Amino acid sequence: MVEKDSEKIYSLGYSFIILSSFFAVFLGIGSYLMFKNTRNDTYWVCIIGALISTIIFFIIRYIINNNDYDDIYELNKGIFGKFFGKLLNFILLVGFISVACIILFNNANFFNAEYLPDTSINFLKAIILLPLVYISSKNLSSIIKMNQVLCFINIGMFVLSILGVFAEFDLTNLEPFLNVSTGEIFRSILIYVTLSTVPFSMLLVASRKRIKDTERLNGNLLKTFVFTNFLQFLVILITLLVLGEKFISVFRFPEHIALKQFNLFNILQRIENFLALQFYFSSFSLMSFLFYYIIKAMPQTKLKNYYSIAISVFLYFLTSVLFTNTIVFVEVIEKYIVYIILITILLPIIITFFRLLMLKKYSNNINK
Amino acid sequence: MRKYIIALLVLVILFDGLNNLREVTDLAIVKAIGIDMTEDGQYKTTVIVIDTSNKEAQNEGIIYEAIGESVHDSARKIVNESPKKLYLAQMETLILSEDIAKNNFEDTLGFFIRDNEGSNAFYLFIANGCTSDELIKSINEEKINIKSLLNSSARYRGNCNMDSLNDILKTKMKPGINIAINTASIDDTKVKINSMAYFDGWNMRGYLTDDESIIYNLLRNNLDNTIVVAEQKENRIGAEIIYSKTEMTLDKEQNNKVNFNIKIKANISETGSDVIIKDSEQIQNVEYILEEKIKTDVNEFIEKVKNEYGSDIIGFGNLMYRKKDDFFYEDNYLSKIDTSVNVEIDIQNQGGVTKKW
Amino acid sequence: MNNLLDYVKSKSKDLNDIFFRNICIDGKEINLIYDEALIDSTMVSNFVIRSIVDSIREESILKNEIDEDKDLKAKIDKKLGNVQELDIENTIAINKIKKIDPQKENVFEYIMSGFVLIIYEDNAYVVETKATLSRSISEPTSENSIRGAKDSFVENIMKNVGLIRNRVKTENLVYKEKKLGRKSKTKVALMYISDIAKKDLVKYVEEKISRIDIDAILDVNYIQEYIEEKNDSDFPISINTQRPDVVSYYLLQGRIVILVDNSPYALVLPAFFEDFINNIDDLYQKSKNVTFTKVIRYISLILTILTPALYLSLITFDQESIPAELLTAFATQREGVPFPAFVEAIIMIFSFEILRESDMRSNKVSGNTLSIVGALILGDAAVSAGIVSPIMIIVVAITTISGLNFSDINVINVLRKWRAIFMLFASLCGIIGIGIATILFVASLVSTRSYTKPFTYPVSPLNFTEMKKSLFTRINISKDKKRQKILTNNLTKSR
Repeated sequence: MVEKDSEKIYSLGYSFIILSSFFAVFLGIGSYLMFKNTRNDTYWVCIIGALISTIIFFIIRYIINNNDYDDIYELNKGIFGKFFGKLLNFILLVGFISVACIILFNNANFFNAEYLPDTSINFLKAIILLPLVYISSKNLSSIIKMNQVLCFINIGMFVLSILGVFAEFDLTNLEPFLNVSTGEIFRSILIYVTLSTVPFSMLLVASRKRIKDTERLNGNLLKTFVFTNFLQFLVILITLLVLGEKFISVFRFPEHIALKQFNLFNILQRIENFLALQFYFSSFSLMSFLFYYIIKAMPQTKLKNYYSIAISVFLYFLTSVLFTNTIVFVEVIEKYIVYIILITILLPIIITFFRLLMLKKYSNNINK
Repeated sequence: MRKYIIALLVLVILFDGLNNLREVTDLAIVKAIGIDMTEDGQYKTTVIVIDTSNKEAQNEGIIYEAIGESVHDSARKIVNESPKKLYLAQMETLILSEDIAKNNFEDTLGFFIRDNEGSNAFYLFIANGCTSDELIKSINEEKINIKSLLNSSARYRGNCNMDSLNDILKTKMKPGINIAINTASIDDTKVKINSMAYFDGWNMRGYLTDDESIIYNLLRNNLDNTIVVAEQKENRIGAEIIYSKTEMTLDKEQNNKVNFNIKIKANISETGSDVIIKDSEQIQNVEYILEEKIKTDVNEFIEKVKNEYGSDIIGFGNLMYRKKDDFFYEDNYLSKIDTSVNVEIDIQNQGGVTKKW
Repeated sequence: MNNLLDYVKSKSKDLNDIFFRNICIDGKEINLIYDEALIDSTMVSNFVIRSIVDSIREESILKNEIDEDKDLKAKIDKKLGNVQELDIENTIAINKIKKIDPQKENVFEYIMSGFVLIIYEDNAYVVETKATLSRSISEPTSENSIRGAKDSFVENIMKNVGLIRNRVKTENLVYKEKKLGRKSKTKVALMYISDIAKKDLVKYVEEKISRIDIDAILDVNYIQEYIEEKNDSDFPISINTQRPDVVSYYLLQGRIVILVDNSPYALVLPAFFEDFINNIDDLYQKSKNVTFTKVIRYISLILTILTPALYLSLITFDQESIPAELLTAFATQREGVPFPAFVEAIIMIFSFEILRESDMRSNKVSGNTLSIVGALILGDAAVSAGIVSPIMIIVVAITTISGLNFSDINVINVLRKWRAIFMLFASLCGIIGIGIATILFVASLVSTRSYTKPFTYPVSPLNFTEMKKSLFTRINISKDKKRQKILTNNLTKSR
């Protein structure tokens, strides 16, 4: 009974990958942009965005179900041949590195702005990278199990947060209804769909071959998808209900300000510090998968154990050079993030999907 | 695991990451702040700091004051006198003088909105008829817990409300509504809560009267409990309101008419000697008298707001903005608004007494 | 057989506790060799020697009778051959006797195990006459049982097996024995129910045990370290227990038990995280009331790790989360203390751990005085002297009292270590430090594998039916019809 590297992955833990990484992409990046565009109609725009993102979800589900390889890197190399497959893998790698930079800086910025204003942001970046180095030394099934436990903690804290801010809801904050133009709606939907691609693409880290109970895979994936979008809808709705349209535009992290009004029976007040750990756990889950992808793309030499330290140092310096302060970061996000994700992550996935479709049709034609 | 602990210690040393570490004994916990404006445009800050050196005298604090060019500058100058740095996260009240409220309200509040060390959960007062440092010193001498004073006034009389700074800002930022803030004054060395002050935009315009403050809180759904008295002397009816709810709706035919629907539940607490309440017809009579009283009060208040005060503190503009009524965008819409008030009072009990003794 | 006797005599020049007894009857010489310290002398004198002497005398009487009757002798000679031989194996009145070949086996191994060596003519026999050198069955010393059975294992392996077999009376309960250790020759036994336990786990354990080559096996922990050599996590992956009802419960689930002679603890594997928190006594109480107890146990697990870290981060980084009156109280109390908060916390927790350790080591005579002195030191005196503040004592008291909920010494050590790590992170980075330490803890917990099965079984690879059975609520025994799929392939329990 030697313990192998490819251990069992169960479908429920696998489908929780979406749930635990969803908050990280929206707080500070997605919600901020969406509130800027469609101010107090964001909550139903978010539902339309969720409906459109089912297309991408089904594309990715098709890719998972219909290949015999380990993960997307092997798949690309397998069906496209060496050169073109490696090119696609390289584009994906660039996309993942840029998303990792953005998430790392966003997280460090959040803690610097809200809790530790005197410490330098470099220290916070280094502190956030420290447990990532530890988790990169474990294999994939441990990362997925850890993800699952963090997910449960997040859901528990989320329920507590909702109970606490319930008293501050003000239904008049949702009016006026339909106060936005179609251009703004379209922009918000685009932001929602592209940002939700990032957690879905984390699913490509394994395929049907590595999962133990494949008969429940599709059902679990669909249930988690619906649940995740429902939770995100709740977050946006609650922020709007508590703060109101004009007040949101004052702050950089409006969900956190909504959480500051937490007041449970007048006993527990001002514990938004602990509830903000939801955001940290969610970012950590997302970055642990990004690290796994980046390490997998490197050539497998003897120095495998030191890749994580090298990647951490690289990401640290990259964020120091690119984002010198928050204003630059906000500009980059407003102008470029949609294009970055569309070109570097979504495009290779769609190319892979169409190639798989063609191969299935071709092989079916031959068999006839 | 040892590697990661050593890495953490190395990182802490390298990046000097302990800047935010502060012991509890290094903090001067501030209870209340008062801000004044001196003649040459500088800010004067007075603070009450909780005294932690002996366990018995905890309600009496230490007073510091300093003058500086901005709010933060003057608060930081206090560090020359006090051995600890000021810690503003547990602050209870902020007191501003009339001068600042009339001219520099937005600039002064800017510091408190940006400050990330604390939440904006404190209460705002305007010093009515005195300067804020006099008020602060009175609060300290009389050992008054200003938060409980405000709490009891707001819950049982209703001429002030428990809005923290966050709530005030939220109200201010809604289009078409203006804010009103509690005031406090010194009455023969005692600190008293006074009537509210109304604003137009970021500038204070004047004071409401005492009864008008109660009506204002009734219309804004901030009223918990108050006493209303109708008629006089022998026909006097006194009732205690225990529940009130106001609904503002736009009229369907006219686009500049607003309808008020006020529902109140009350208990009869005292009556004059000529008032007999025995059967349902008499109770309905009593209800009718009370309803008329409240209706006239509300109508007078609305007229005064429209014509004399000129600032939309009740929220007509906000209602029209939310329901997408274009009347809001006309010039001077406030004076052209029509209102109709409808009051329903439900008397719950009369104190367990059914017959006059 | 004179060579054997001379050989034994020459080897036991320095072993003065080996006795030699020579019985000469009727020209036949029988030699008995035994070790005085290990035999039961009544058994040797009443059963072995007497039955030998009696049977020799009967033989000689019978032989005289046969000799006198010539016809009978001829008949017997024709039918049975030579009856001059004294058939010791069939005449001796003892329950365990074996004929050995002294060239192939080491006779000293038998002598040192409490056997009597009988040398007669050309044969060597060994007879078991072991003395009872262990204590009688008493209450368990390190585990409390409120309502369950109160017998515990002792140092004799056969008595332990007897206690287990009393409860599981099936012939499928396999007992395989080996003797390990060159100088100690300890009996190591493996027990499992053959139609419930999984075959590959059994094969793995047997293979690991057969490779042990060591001087001596003194305790069950020696075997544990051999089997667990690939496990580099802090958490224990097998259970040490002293109670036979616990062992029988685990055997019926499909787990494997290892018993070692001279050790009153049994080793049960594989173990999951919830086994260290849940208690077998939950099965003996009403199933609906047990939920509250389980919730208390989980909360005390969280409290014992998190409380000092939470206090430190609230005092040094996040003072805004505490209500204002409490903050003033803390500030007043900490005015007179000369140390920073982290040093004070370390001092208090250290002294509590020293107190606990000395409480375990000191003997019963001086134990009471020490705990009184300890309480005095850590109570009023330290506060009045101005070394610590009263709130720190409350924090440490909550931590230690919640930690008393866990009785396994390995779990206590793990919790101690993680408590220190949490405190370090919290005092350096505040609330983020607690987040990082939580991640490290969960990562280390989740990546432990207990004999290729996941350690956090019902929670982490999520399985709702198993969670309902024992995590927070306990299922009613009459409705619990299936065994756990991860431990066995034979799923139906009741019909």
